[in-house]
Amino acid sequence: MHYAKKVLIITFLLCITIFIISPFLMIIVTSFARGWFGTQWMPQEWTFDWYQWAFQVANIGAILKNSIIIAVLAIAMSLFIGMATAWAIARRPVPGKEILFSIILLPRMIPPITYALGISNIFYKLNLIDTYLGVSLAHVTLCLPFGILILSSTFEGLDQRIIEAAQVCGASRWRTFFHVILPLVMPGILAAIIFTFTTSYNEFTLTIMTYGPHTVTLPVKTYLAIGDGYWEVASAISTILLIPSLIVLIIIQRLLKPEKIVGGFKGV
Amino acid sequence: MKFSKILYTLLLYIITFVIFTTFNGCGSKDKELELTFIDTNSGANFQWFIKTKVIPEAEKTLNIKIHYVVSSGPEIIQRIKTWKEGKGDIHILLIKPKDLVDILSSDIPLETLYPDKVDRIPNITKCLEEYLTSVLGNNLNGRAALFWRSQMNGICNGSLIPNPPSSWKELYERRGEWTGHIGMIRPDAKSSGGRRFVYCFLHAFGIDFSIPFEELKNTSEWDDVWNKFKELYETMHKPLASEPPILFNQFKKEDVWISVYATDYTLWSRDKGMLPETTKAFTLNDGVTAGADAYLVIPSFILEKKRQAAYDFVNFLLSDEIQLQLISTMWQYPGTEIWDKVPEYVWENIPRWEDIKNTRIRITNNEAFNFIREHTMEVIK
Amino acid sequence: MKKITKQSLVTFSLLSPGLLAIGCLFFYPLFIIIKNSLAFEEEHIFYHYIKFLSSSNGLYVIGLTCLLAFGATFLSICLSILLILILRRKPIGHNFFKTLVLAPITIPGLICALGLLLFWDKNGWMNLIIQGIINRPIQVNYTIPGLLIFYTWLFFPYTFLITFSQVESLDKSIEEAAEVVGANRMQVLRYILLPLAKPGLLAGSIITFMLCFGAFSVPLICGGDYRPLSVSIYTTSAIYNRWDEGSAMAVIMALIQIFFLISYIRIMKRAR
Repeated sequence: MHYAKKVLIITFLLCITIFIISPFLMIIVTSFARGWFGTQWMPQEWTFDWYQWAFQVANIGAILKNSIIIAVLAIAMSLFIGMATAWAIARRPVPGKEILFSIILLPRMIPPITYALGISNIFYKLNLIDTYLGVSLAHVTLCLPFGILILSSTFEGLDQRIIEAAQVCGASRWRTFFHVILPLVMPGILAAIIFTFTTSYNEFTLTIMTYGPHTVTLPVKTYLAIGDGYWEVASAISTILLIPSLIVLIIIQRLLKPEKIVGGFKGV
Repeated sequence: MKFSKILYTLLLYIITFVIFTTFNGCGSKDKELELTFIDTNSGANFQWFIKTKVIPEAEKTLNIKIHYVVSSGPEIIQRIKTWKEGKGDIHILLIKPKDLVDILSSDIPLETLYPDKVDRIPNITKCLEEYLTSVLGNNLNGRAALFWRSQMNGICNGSLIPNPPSSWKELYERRGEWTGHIGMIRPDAKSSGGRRFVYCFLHAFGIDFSIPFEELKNTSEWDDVWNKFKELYETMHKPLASEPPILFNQFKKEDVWISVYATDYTLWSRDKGMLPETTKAFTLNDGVTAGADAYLVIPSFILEKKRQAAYDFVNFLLSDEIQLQLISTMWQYPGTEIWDKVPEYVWENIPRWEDIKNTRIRITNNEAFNFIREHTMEVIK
Repeated sequence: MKKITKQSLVTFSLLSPGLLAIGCLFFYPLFIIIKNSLAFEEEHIFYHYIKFLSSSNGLYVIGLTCLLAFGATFLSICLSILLILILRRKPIGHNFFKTLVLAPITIPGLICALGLLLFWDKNGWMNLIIQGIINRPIQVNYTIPGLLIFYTWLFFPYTFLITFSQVESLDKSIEEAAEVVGANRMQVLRYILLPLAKPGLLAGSIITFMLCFGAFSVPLICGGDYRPLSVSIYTTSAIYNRWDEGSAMAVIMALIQIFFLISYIRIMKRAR
């Protein structure tokens, strides 16, 4: 009885594992497949052509560059803007803190497509469409609330007594900041960087309303490849894109609490 | 702790990479003559062809550097509008007829290639004059050269349909044979394939698209033919493909046996192993629309030196060598009249030009075309 | 008194960059959309709203969106409870499993969608397995059950992770106490575990629900004939170029979302 139950549980977990992993395996197999017709488990022929295509024709290199530049800009802006606000929320008396917080989190609660229309409208007038600045600014809308959320919880955890102790010991303001506060909040900032990076790297809705030929990011390229290219090539592109995502996944697993990421839903 | 160190190093690498690439982009100024060639017409197949075949050959023969960029027509037009004399940074443009009409109706000055520059671009004389003097009923006056002619045709899986229909009427009458296996792209998709399908069908059953749409939609014929189309829709594979790759996927799974789509793209995909080997093209003698023909234009507001190089490049693109590659490897009808040089095996794959040139439909009624795009899905529901 | 004003001035100046950014990037666009959605030329200022809501298509689209969101949320809750009951006992590989469920979160939705389309396709592996059992393929892609499966696959980790982190922190002794008193397994589940996990389930499922309701990239390529609100807004405005109608639909969507959020928060408060 006990043994049967164990087998049952393991089978169930195995099924769920297959359920989650197989789509990715299927992408990887498709990216190497040629002439995979009808109903067969594996393709007739294996090929690297689609990867060659992804680099030569689809210009994956340039697009990866775009994505990273936009993500770095978005992270920098979000943290720069968010730092001060998070500090004030965490460590200063602010009237109506809860309401303020829900206002800041509102962009994450309302479907992005609703205000993406407005953003693209404004950006057209300001000539921000198809610029790195424009696309990353659009990403800030989603990254900032998330950054503030993580940073303020980090700052809240900061013990006032340690700071005071440092000052009592005669440390200057700068010294206190660099040698006491910064090491304490660094893990929080790192978490904020990683989560805002995931947000920006995966963001699709706001990007498709503000992108142009010079600012095609990876998700947009995947969409275009699925929409008017070949699925074999789209799979090759996707396989290449999986690598940074897996790195982020490992980082989150190793360094941070996975539960935290739930605030940082990806670009839906 | 060790892991976080790796992480910091990684971050550092990324930042270095970004800084490096940003500055690298600013500093590159080549002494070599460089042309910017913008392509607003090509699908995946021609992007591959131009990038891996045409550009390397052209760079070698003409000894110039060509910067090949894929973009969208309307966006490029907006950009060219802001140019001033000598400040243009796009030297050659590959464009669809519809966008070309937009350029002509805005005040963007283009170089007149025919007949003014016949001595610089001798190959342009091989293009049919009617394509150089007018485009979609607008005066072109030789301000563009014709690179290729694209054509939609019937396509089917030969092993499942050995005797494809020869006309739209036959397709409609024999629809029962292929119930659930006729494929079409949604008319409201980004790809215009589905819209063209519907347009041809309506045309074949006697809709006269020269009548203005406001009148046309009130005629009794209009409703009759739409009812016929509804009957055809009943036998189609559902749901309709939302974009071309999905139609291709349906072909792969043998869910769809027959459809009407761009000949070049379909057959080339077959060669690349992305469609069954038995896929073939056939003609429908009551007319199928042209696809997007490709025109080459040279904007006037560019430097004289670059303009001369651009003429050479256009001449190169119209040379027999490239044009023959177009038809014999990409299955696209060439822009120049070189039919006698085309190898015979080509015609075993694609219909002869003589068979289709007289029934080629051009989309002239834009209101009707828009109606098809926005309302077909409601009408047939 | 003077000191307080100075202090609050500092607080305000610290708060202002964040608030300004949210204002410019979120509230101003929202305002623009509301302005665009109002029809000043038509006889009725809410013309586009009325047109959308009174058309059969409008109600259908809203119904479809709600159906998908509620259905997928429900499935996610069921799947999460099942998984938690198993993983709570820490079987072999439970850590690996916790990493695994992060995959749908950190990998771009479009890639997931492509994989799902391939996997559930008529000649995908899933169908090959099914064909081995019932001898004919089943159509999953582009159907409502298919969309529900896709949504659940993509968004259940949010419910699972939040609930799991809460259940993990629960005091094991309560459960043991119940067993000592003589409660059977079902009773423990019904009267002890579920009530304790309820806040976590609610908090997690609200996120799943929000994401399902606003999902855009997945229905855009996997939807087939089914086009929920987000896709309809995109097609109406960006493809048909009818920005005023699209804006009206966007406002309606935002209002529905806010309505659901508020009701959800109320339920959550009552649950506590």
